[in-house]
Amino acid sequence: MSLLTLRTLQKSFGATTVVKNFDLTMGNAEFISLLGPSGCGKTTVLRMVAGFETPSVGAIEIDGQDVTALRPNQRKIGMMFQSYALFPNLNVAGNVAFGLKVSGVPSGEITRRVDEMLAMVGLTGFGARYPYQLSGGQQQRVALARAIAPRPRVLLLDEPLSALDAKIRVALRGEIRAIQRELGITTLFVTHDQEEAMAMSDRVVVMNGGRAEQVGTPDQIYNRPASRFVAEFIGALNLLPATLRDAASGVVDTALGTLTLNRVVPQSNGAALTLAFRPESLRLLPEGSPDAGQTFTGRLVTREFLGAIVRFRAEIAGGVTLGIDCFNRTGEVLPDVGQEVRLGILPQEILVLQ
Amino acid sequence: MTPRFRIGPAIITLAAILYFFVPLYAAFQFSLQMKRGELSFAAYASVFQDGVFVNALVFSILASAAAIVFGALLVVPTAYWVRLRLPKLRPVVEFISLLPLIIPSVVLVFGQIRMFGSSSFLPLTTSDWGTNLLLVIGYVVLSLPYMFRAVDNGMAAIDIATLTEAAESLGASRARIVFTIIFPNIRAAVVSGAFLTFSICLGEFAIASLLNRSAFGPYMVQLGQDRAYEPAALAIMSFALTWLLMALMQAFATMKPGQRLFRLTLSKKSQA
Ligand SMILES: Nc1ncnc2c1ncn2[C@@H]1O[C@H](COP(=O)(O)OP(=O)(O)O)[C@@H](O)[C@H]1O
Ligand SMILES: [Mg+2]
Repeated sequence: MSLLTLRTLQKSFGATTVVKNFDLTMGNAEFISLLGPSGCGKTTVLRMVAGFETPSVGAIEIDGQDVTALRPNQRKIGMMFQSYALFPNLNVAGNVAFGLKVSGVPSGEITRRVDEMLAMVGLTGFGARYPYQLSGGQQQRVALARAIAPRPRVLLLDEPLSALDAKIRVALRGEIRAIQRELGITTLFVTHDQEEAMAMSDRVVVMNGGRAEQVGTPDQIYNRPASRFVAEFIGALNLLPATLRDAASGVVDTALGTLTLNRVVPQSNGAALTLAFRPESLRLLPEGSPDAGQTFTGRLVTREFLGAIVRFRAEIAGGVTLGIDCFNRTGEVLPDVGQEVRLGILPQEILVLQ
Repeated sequence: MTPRFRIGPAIITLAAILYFFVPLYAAFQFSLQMKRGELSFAAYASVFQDGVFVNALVFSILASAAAIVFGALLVVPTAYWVRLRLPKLRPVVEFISLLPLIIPSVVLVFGQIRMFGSSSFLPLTTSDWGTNLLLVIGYVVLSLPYMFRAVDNGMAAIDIATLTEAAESLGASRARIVFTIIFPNIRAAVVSGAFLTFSICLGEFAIASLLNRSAFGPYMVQLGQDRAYEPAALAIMSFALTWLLMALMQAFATMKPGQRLFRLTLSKKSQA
């Protein structure tokens, strides 16, 4: 059954509409990320769910209850902010206890629950410290404990990791996900970091200009982008203009020559298309190996060492430049800049964008 | 690099110090000369022995304490609401809060007497408590410029919008947010506003005098007319009190959450 339902949400500030026709149904205990460039309306959607903004059009249901007209303090949600937003006048225990006190939980129960929450976020023994005595990562853990202590129906997180160091960010996102799974809290997570969204989410909503461009699992979003925007926004992409010659067998003409996609392209012959493929889909073929899929030759012009990956750019015939990602395996000899190489790609790895 | 000694600024600084301290020193010197031919604190003792002095001081302290409480209860929620919901109105509210600096307090008190005089719809001046209430309200108005500025600056230093949202998401009502989150976090600002209010109310003459209250301001003026040495002693003590308040204000302002200004050994052990 669906726990959170957003029905054709729309939000306008004055004449500008920043969220348009936004629909989303979240299952119980599901973790969904809103992903998109800055200013695309992610925070606005989250704030409408929290009750800090009123939708211009549409409705919000939590657990079957229409909460559109409820005030934020009546919605039983938990929220985490980028700026932590801990209460500076309260110590850690006081912060975590705040929501419990508000809802009138007996004090013995509060103490027990605060301890339990602090243990969960790895801050046992920190109860008497004040926010200014904690690091950013610790403060955000307290904020998480505070948000989940009153057992909210929905947890809302607005870029909670953006202000943290890279290492802590990665560690904390794993912990947030683990705690979310353990407690089974339905969670809506806002981020502009695609890696974060991919790593944490059951499903990702890619947003652009106030609309949901695609809703899907990380795998679907990455491997089967529904629109050109999604394809270009997520990961790196090689784009290649093409003209459709035979729609039935997927034969196209490109600057690299004629390629065969081995599938039906739902366009009429002669249509202009854009082919797209990921840098990691291109393979450097060793000397003398048999052709696999489509092959072309080119000359390497740049080589970037990125640790786990080495990223090349190669000039191919007709002025086309392609990016190629190779794993940096121990003992593997990768070619150098200036070398001629043979590249291969499988037809099923080539996306057709309109 | 050591800063070079500059003659111009040094002269200006010296002149400022002299301008301030010479009269103060003269007053202090004078206040010690009540007994002919020797220096003594007789003038100070004389002030404290005066029962009227003690009554006036106690009355003024109570009245300014009431003004502080009323003022804080008026200003904090107002400044909070304006910052949170009506930021466009902030310049207007700020201007209104500054009006008491422009309009003389005599105008204010005449307005009060006309509005709440014996023949009005609400004849507050006919009773003692009613007149005291008018005095306190007058004090609140007089201290508004200082209280509002202090509180508003205090709110600028914390992210009240996000703290409010965090508290709301945890189920807190507006009143609860103001009293458990906003007030404690701007405590230093409220305290400094309170001290300023206190020092204004203590010396205030016009309102107290025209409302015929036996407050400290009128007492000082009366004393100045009747006596020679005691007013000087009183002036020195007022200065000392003001400096003490300034020091306390500073101490409160730099205090961290959870710190106590004084370690009270009597207070029960704070929760772990
Ligand atoms: N209170 C507001 N008044 C006017 N415009 C706003 C307000 N809040 C957000 N916006 C605008 O709405 C757009 C979307 O903002 P936001 O939801 O914060 O984007 P994101 O979180 O995806 O970066 C932005 O162009 C922003 O300027
Ligand atoms: Mg945002």
